[in-house]
Amino acid sequence: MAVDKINLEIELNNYGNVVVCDENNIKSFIVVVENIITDVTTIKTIIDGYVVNDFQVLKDIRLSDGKLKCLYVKS
Amino acid sequence: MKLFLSQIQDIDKMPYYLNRLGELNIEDNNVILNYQLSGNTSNKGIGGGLTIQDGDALGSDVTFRIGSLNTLTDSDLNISEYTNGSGYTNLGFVTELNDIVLQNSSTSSMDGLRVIKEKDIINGGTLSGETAYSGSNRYLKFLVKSSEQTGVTPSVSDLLPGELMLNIADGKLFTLKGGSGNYEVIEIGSSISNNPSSGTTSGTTSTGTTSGTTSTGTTSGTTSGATSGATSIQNLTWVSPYGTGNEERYPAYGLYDYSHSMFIIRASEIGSGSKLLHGLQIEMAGYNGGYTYTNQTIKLAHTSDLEFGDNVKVDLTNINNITNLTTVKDNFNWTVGASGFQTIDFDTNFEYNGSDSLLIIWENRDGNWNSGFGWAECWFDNTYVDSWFKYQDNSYPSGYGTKDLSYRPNFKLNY
Repeated sequence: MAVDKINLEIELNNYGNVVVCDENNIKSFIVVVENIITDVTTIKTIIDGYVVNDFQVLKDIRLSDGKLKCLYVKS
Repeated sequence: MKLFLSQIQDIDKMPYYLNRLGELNIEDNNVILNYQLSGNTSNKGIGGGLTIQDGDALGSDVTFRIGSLNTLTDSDLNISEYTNGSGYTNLGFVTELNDIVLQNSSTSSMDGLRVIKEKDIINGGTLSGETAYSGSNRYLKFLVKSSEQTGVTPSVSDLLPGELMLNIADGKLFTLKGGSGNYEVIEIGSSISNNPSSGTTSGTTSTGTTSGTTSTGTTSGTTSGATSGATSIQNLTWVSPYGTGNEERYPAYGLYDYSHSMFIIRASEIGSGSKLLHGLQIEMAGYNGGYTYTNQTIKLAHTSDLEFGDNVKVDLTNINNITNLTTVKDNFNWTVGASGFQTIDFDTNFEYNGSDSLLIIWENRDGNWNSGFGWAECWFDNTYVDSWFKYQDNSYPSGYGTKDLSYRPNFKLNY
């Protein structure tokens, strides 16, 4: 089942401005959110709920200067 | 009338007897040695040829056939001189055995055993109508067995059964030696200080795409001349241990504006003997077509370190005994094409000294990030800390980074 990108983006927009929320390539999914107004754990919990069925491994997550970037990959 | 050679008591007189016969004419175009009246020849439809029969009246005798096969097309051969006006004169040598053993009792002369002459080809295609590449029996394979010699400059007489020596066009001799599973090409007559160990070397070229257009940006990094001219390009390729791990951050990380990655390849992997490195290949996959990193720089150096230690910084602090730091490819745009080894030809060659570790530094100063990036195919090893990285947005990273014990990209070094 594909990631429900529309609803994920709607949820994430409550905590910042979504820049990218999409498959990066056949094996990975990236989310980039700017102007984050919450903590990493909150954002990660939201993303996990949508992504981990298809992209099981959180390879990289970083919040810097109000911008959060994370990379999920298939196991 | 049958002529039994055993009836000729004095073999030295063979020319005399043959001269008396005028010619030896075998009408059915077969010569059978050790033919027994009770021998089974019913399945020896060999046409023009020769059979050595063991006389047990069973199959599995040795047969040879020398004759025009005429199975190869012009495109198969692509060598016009093989055409004689009536088809191809490729002659076949066929045995029913699995192995052909050619032995030369003399190790003092390279002319003692001549199997293939100049411009001959070894054809792994079809022989008599089989479908090309249809089965395992038509693939051409050579078994090369490594020797156990340690620290010895190889010579012709060093070759043991199973070892392969190649005599290439410029007269240089090469042999393959190494440990189990790992081989190194050694030039005969060159000095070596120890036994080559891990790392494979081949003379083949990769199928990866070539990239690396030089841009007009500014030059960065320290450059020092490492090429003394003592070593020449040999048109060989060193191949690193190969793995299938995926690391998006190597050698450049598309998720961030800037990234800095470093890799150590030990002398025990590359093999002894200096090598004039003129390019590298790195295996990439998963990139959307046309993904380009701008402002890339590659530097090489020697280091005495076998792996990355603690507190290493982007400015190379805490990497020990760095020498010959050389910017081999400066400020270029790198487009990652189809999956496979991507070749980067250096602008400045680097003379690897054969004794220190090789430090590869990859600076990604693109300044932007984009989706669609892929990954480097990596070798997994938990023995040495072979890789190091740092990445961030907005500015080029500095200071401490992260050392990676597990993964190093699959590299090839062209020298």
